[in-house]
Amino acid sequence: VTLVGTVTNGSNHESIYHVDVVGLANASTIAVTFSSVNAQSKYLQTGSRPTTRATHILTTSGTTGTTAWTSGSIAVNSGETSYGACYGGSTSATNTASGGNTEIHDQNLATDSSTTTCFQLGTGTSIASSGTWTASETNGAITASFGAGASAAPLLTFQPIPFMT
Amino acid sequence: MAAPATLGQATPIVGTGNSISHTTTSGPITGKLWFTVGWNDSAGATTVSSLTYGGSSARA
Repeated sequence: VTLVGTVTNGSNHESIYHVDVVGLANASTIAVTFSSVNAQSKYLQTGSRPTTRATHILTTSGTTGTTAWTSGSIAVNSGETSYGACYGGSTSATNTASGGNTEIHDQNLATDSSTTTCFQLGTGTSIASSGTWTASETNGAITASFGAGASAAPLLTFQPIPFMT
Repeated sequence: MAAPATLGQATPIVGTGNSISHTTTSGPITGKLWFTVGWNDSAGATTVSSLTYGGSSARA
């Protein structure tokens, strides 16, 4: 598993990791362990794309303190995918994705926080992971682009053998 | 190119508990798997301790 990056806004953190898997079975357990000693909120969200190879290309992140949040923009070419997330760390809210993003996850805790994940297929323009919370809060957002996911090179290539008469 | 699929989400926790997990709801999966992890820690923990999938150990 590769860490793409972490965005920090005060004591709030949001990280993206990625890995290429082959044949990961249904009902497989995904788990995260923290070293935190504080009684504070934590989230884990997961998504996938059925390709064989999708190299990480670009990453950017940003912080805001309003209802609208954004990671900042990166160029995402046609055939590439952006995958991003936001940790809203000051109140409970729900998210509406913006800027052409599709929301994957949207969670919150009544006590203090919210988090969401989204993706967008590239068209060759600069795009950001972005959205709008239902309440203003302190945000840290991060987005990354990944390649088109070209198929793995074949291990064996069979060549036709000329038939000699 | 297929769009990313939702694989489920762990219930967020508040407390001193430091472990969150969930199980995938589709598969077998061959391709890219993304994890997003969010947390608040005023004590200064800026990384996670470990991240695992399918029993495979990941990073600290």
